[in-house]
Parts: sequence; C-alpha cells; structure tokens
Amino acid sequence: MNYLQHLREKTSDLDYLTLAIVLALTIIGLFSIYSASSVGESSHWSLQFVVQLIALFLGLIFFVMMYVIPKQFLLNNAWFFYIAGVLLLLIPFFTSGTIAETNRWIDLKIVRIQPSEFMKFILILILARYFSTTKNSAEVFRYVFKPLFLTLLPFILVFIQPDLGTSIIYLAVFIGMLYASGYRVYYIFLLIAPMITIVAAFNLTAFTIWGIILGIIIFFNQANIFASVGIFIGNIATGLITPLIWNHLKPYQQTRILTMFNAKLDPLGAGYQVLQSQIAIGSGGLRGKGFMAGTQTHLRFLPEQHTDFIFSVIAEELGFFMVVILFILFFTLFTRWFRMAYQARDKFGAMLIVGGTMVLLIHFFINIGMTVGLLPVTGKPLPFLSYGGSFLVTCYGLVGMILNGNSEQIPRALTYR
Amino acid sequence: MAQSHENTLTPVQYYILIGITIILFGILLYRIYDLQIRRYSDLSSEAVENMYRKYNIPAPRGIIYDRYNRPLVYNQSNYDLEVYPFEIKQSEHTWDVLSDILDIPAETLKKRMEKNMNGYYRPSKIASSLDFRTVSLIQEYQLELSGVILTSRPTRKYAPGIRAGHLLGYTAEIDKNSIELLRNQGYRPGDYVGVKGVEKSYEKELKGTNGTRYVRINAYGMDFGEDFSKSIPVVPGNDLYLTINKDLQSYVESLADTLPFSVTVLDYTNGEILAMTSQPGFDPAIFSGTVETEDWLALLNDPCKPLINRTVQGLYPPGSIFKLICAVAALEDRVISPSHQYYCSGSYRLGRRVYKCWKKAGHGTLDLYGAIENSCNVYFYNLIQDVGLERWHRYGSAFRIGTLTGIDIPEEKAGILPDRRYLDAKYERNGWTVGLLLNMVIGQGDVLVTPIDMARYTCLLATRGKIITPHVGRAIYDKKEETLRMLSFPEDSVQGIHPRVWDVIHEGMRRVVAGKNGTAKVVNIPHLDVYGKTGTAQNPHGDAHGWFIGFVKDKQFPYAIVVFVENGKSGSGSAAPMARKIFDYFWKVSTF
Repeated sequence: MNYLQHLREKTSDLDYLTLAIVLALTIIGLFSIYSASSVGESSHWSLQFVVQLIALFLGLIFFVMMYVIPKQFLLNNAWFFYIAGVLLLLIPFFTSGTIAETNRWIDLKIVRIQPSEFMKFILILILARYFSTTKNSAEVFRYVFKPLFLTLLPFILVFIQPDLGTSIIYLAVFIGMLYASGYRVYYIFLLIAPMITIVAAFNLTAFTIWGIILGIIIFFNQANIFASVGIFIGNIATGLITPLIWNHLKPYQQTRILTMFNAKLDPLGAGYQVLQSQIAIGSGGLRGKGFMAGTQTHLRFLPEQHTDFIFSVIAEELGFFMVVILFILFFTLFTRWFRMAYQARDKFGAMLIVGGTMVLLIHFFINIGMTVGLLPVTGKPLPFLSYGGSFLVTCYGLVGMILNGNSEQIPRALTYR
Repeated sequence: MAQSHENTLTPVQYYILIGITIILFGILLYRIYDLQIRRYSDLSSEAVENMYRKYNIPAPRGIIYDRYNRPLVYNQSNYDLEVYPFEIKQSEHTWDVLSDILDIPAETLKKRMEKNMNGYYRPSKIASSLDFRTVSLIQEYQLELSGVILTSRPTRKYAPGIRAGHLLGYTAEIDKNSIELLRNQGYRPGDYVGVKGVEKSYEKELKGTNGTRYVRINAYGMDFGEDFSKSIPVVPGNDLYLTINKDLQSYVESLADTLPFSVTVLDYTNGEILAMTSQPGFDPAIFSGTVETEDWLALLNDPCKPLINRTVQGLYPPGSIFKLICAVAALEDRVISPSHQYYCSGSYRLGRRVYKCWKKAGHGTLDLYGAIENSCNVYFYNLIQDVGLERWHRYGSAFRIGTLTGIDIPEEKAGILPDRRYLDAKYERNGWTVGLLLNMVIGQGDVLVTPIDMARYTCLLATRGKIITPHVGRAIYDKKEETLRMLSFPEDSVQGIHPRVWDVIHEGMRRVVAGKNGTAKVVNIPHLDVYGKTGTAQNPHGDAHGWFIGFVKDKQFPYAIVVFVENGKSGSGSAAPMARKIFDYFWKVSTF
C-alpha cells in the first residue's frame, strides 16, 4: 500500500463543509464556555476555555486518525477491537474501590479513561462489519440475533455501571444501523415493543391503548397466527408482571432505578436544574441578553452550565436567532451524513456513517431535550459545544469515522463479492 | 460504481432517516420557540426574580407626642426568626444550634418551616416576638446559622399612665379583605394599619413608606451586596404632635366612677382638646402584638361597651344644657327681655297633659337669669311657645347642633336637631303637638347629641358665637421634607347676635355656679371665674344621664369642660362634682 497515495486520495475526498460546520460549532462552544466559566473571575482566560482549546487540538488529531485509517483495517480488526472493548468495560468493576462509586472510569493517574466512550466506536465497527458482510437474509427475524447479542453485552455492562444515557445511545446506534441494514421495520417494532410495554404498564389507560395498537400492528404484519398470539400474549404478560416486580423491589432499589432515569437527582428539590435551565432559555428571548450578559449563567443559577447545560447559556445570551442558527448547522450535518450513507459506495462505509450519525444525533436530542425540560436529566453533553475534553475528542473521532465511511476506498472484502 | 449502490441504503430508508431527524428537530425547536418567544415575558421576569432577594422593610410608624412633646405612642423592635428553606435544608447542624437556642425540638421547628413556607427561596417564619436574650444568642451564633435571619418588626408601645384607647387608637395587621383595596396605596400583606383614634385618622401621615432592599444573590444564596438602584428606601412615618396634655389625660381617665362617663377638656378659643376620654375604655397596648382572645372577648362582651367611644359616638338627650338655645333665640329676636317673668308652680298644663318641673314645689316667679340658675323647666315651657319651633330650630342649627364637628377622631356620629320636616316625617303631618316642643326645649324627646357636639356648643357660648372644630392634632413633623407642619382646622362664627344677649347668657351661667340656688354650686371655686350649666336627661331605659358644661374665663387657661355621666341620675349630682375635680386639678398641677 502506498501510504502517500492513500493520503492524497483521502485528502481529495475530504468533505470540507462538514469540517467547517464542526469547527464553527466548536468555536461557538468555546465562546460559550468562556462566558459560562468566567463567572466572577477576573482572569481573561478561564481554565475551562484553555482545556477545551487543547481538547480541540487533540480532537483534530483523533479526527485525522479516524479519517485516514483504512476501512480495510477497521473491517479486518473489528473483532479484536470488540473483545478489547468489552474487557476494558469490565476493568472498572474490579478496580474501583468503594461500592458507592460508579464503575465508569479507569484511572490511569494522569488521565481517567472512560471505556464506554471507546465502546461507541467499537460497537459501530462490529455492527457495521456484521451488517455489511453477513450472508444472512435481512428478511428473516433471526437476522437480528447476532448483532443483538453483540449490542446487549456492552449495553448491560454500561447499564449496570450505572450509565443509562450511554446504554440508551448504544441501543439507538443498534436500532439505527439495524434499520439502515434493511431489516424489516415490523421486526424492529417487535424488538422495541417489550420496552414500551414495561413503561406503559404503570398506567392502566396507557397500557390499554398500547395493547390495542400492539394488537393491530401484529394483526396486519404477522402471517403466522400462532406467532401473532404468542408475541401479543408475551407482551401483555410482561406488562402485567412489571408492576408486581416493581412493587416487590425495596424502596432503595426503586430509588436506584429512578435515579438512573434522573442521574443528577436534584439536591434542592424537584426539578430545580431543569426549571432554572428553562428560565435561562426563555428569558433569552429572540435576541438574547448579549454575550457574557446572561444573568442566569453569571449568577450560577444554571447548573453544570459549561457542560450539560451549555445550550441554555447560548440560548440565554444569544437568543432564539442563535438557536435557529445552531439548529441549521446541526441539521445540515446530520442530513448531509445520512445522504453520504445513502450514496456510500460500500455498505461497510454506509454503516459506519449511520452509526456515527446516530450517536451524535441522539446526544443532540437527549441533551437539548433535557435542557428544555422534555427529557429526564441524564447528563449527556451536547456534541462539539459542551465543555469536556474527552467527549470533544470522541465527537471529532466520530466525524472522522463518518467521513472515512464516505471515502472512495472500498474494502476488499466487499469489492470481490 | 453501479454495482456498489445495491449495497447502500434504499431511498425509502434514506427519507425515513431524514424524516426522523426532522421530527426530532421539530420537537425541540417548537419547545424552544414556546420558551423563548411565547413565554418570554413570564420567564424573563422569573429570571429577574431569581437575581434578587427581596427584603421588605416595614416603615416605622410616626411617633405620637403630647402637647409638651412627651411621647405617648412610640415603636419598639419586635424580632421574628425566619429561615431560607433551600439554604437551611442542607445543614442538620444549623437545626441543632437553633433548637438549642430556642429550646424547641428541631422537629417542631422543621414543621413550622414547612407550614409557613411559600417558596423554596423565600423566608419562612419559625418563631416570632423573640426576647432579648434569644436575639442576642442568635446574633452571637450567626456564623453557624446560615440561612437563618432575624427580622425586626417595629411594634407600637404606649407611654405608661394613660389608657387612651379611644383617643390614640391602635394598629392591627391588615386583614386579607382590605389588602386588595389598600395595595395601590403602598400597603403590603403583613403591614399594620391604624384602627380607631388618631392612629386611624392620621394613618396617611403616620404610616410612612415601606422600603425594599434588593440584594443581588447567586444560586447559592451568596450575597453580592445591595442593588441601590433598585432598592426603595424606607421613609419613616411622620410624627404627630397632639394637643393632649398627658397628665390631664391620665387624670381624667382615672376619675374613678362606677358609671360610664365621657369627659372633654378643650381650649374654647381654638378647639384644642387637652384631654378626652370615654370610660370604660380600653388599653391600646393589648392590641400590640398578638391579641389574646380572652382580652378581646372581654371587651366585646362587656355590658358597658368599652369599645364604643361615647364622646364622639354616643347619642344622648342633652337635657337642660340645651335650654340656652331657646334663651338666645328669645333674646336676640326680642321675644322677651331678660327680666321677663314667668311663674313656676312645679308643673305646667298643656291641653290634657301635665309637664313637670324638676322641683315639685315649684320655683315661683322667675326671670330669665333665675330660670337659668335654677334650671326651671316651666319657664322654658312658657317661653318656647312664644319662640316657636322654627325660630328655635334656626338658632339651634346656627349653632350647628346635630351636625358633625369634624373632630380628627374617626367614626363620629351626628346628633339630631328636629325641625318641622323631621317631626312631620316621624309623626306624620299633624300627628304631633306642641307637647313635643316642650320636651325638646329642655333637651328631651327627639333631640340627640354627642358629648363632642356639646363641647363645640360650650365653646360657642364661651366665645360668644365662635364655632371651632374640636381637634387633637396640633402639628406634623414631616420626615421627608424635614419640616414641622402646623395643622389647621376650620373655624366659623355665628353672626349677628347682639353682645347683650351673650352678656345675659353668661350672667345666667355664672349664676348656675355662683348663685344661691345654682345647680352647679359645686364648681364654685374662689378666684376662678367659672361658668356652667347642668343637665339631667331623662332616659326611658334607666336612670337619667347627668351633664355638665362649663368654661373658665381666664386669659391663660381658656378652657371648657364637658362632662357626661351615663345614668348619673342628675347633672348637679354626678357630672358637676366630676367637673369640680378637674377644676381642682387644673390649679394644682404646675404644668398649666
């Protein structure tokens, strides 16, 4: 392989618009972090701003790495990465000292590594490999078994850390890629149905309506009458058992599960953070209060303002205009990437793009949904904008992987098919 | 190239993915639009609320002084203890310290906080009216008590020695119904407002302007100092200087009498009231702070009705003190001369009814002086028939009888001076006889007056026709302008009465005190030029009421006295002796 030629090809393929938008978002983020973190401090360069600037530099390096690395290499070594990733996920369970501590981090003294971040890449990789190389037909239900198992293993490990947000992202990636691979929508519905059943089980009306919808969908899609009845009964039974199990849990266990849905349970009382965030966003109005002039931000009414609630800072200080601009930028990115997946030359690349896009899209939705009070506080940062070095590096890596997926070079395993 | 395309997405898959993206973006954008555009004004005012901690600073009410600048009503700080729930909840230690200081279990305090809480970031009261020791302990441990604040509320204190509830009034927390009406006048819930007395009539002056301190805070409740551009400074209420003489006031209140009575002492030249009381009264001090239910019920259920200010609200027949109106009318209109004589046999027959004089044996032949001195009814029964209702009423209304005096004490009631129209309405045309007139001329029957009305009448007699407004307010010290504002009250006079007429009236009133048969001989004090008239008003419900009106001709102390004794049986037996005590007191106390 002529590396020089390889690099030249890569460079000519590079989607500059993506890079420009991503850099623009990062710069907006940097300014917002500067505003959010220079609260009551006189120094002009806040620590967070500098850290984020360094992270951007590292992110760009990681981006280049993820971009230039040949798809062939990724495809060939997917299994190796997967096994290594799962092992990394297991390490914190043995190393972290106290039980109360969450098992998210591997402490390397200098930096703390969060294996679940790596796992995002690895999961995309292993799923992309499976969906692009499998001989199984996507028309049959059992097509899902292997990728489902591959997803559930890291899902469970992350879920019990506990890190609900990240495990939901794994699921979203899995479902997005599963759909893009050509799997029947009805089958995907059957996979999701039990989860909806469990949630609906806590409200009789919701459960009844859900039961009817479920019945109708199964009736119109399932040829086999025995399978239909079996699936339906299975779901209803799950729903009926759920409240019984829930009531059998001890209060602290219930609290623990509720805490997973609301990771940063408000120390001051119900909904404080979200309320303050909504006040911040709402009081920004059309034009905002001006850069560095957000009262909610600068008086620290916003919780976690430079990390999870950076969007509130922007909305407060720069107003609805800036929100619309941000939305246009993100929308352009996501639709552009989906289009890349649509037009990709190889299925492996397309799968990489869909997986990477799903990670960033779900992050975007969960984070802003949280700041505007639509979704529980799961503590997921906003891509490119939130403070947090390792997450920024992850995001740039994902972009690198997406653009790599879009590149002209087609892995051999696929070409000679 | 073409072969690879079969491995990528179908158009349907592509459009579904784009569609999902659009839906997710749409949900979020709609929500943000809702927050930033539709709910903008609500949320931005919430953001402003967030930035400040508001401290309401009640304005201290003005101080009320007496004639000699001695304080009658002043303020004393009353300390309440409040906590900020969001701040204190995080520290169990704070609760323990508080519990030790107040000697109340922490659980009880927590319950009080929950009960009084109206917002996580608003103070919640957990104890009120703390004693001095507790206050100083809390100040000492302030560092350990984050989220705990002492708030001082000025409460009314009353000078010892006087119990002038009717005169001074008291203050009470605004009730929930009136707050809506008063809100645009600068009142806030929890403010105190004057009830009764000068506290009510001078409410606008005494109230002052509440202040608000806006303190910038951050989410941790950290204090960034006061925002003076937003803060509204407190303006204390204006001080009120009264015409009251505290010593005399204290004395007239203590005039021990088992019967309810009313005393007014005033300067007849200008209407300044030196002392006024209605007994039984009440001590305004029982209303400061929280009113004890027993005290309140005792006042409400007392058969003597201590909550009624008899001096300005009590309507009574005036009795013989009223005869002088007829005398003035007769003299001025030349119906008779003062030497005109009538014969009193002890009773007077009109048609089939017999009208009695108070002296059964009769007074014999009397001229007008003698009639006033003896307070002979029969003389006036004769006289009024020559004077007539119209003329009598004309003079009575010229003297403003039955109208409000305009005294600066609230809830004054007007008396009744009947005229033909009134009698026609009450008894129907032709339904009444001259007999009614005979009753009215001696201050009985349909005539009703308040003691303060009689005070104005007495001043008019003393000043030969001057109509003053009795008042207790003298001056106001304006705290904003830093100036003393003298209060003025309207004055008027009855024109066209010949000085000779007044001479006759004064001579008659002098004889009441100094004459051989005078009904108020008890107030005859050597070297003191006292003029008076007694009255005994028949009361269908019980014993007759006693009246005494009088004045002293003295350059230095031109004072008039009105004494009313409910069920006192007679004016000369009950009211005049009480007046005597007051006259004695005049010349004993050096401050006069």
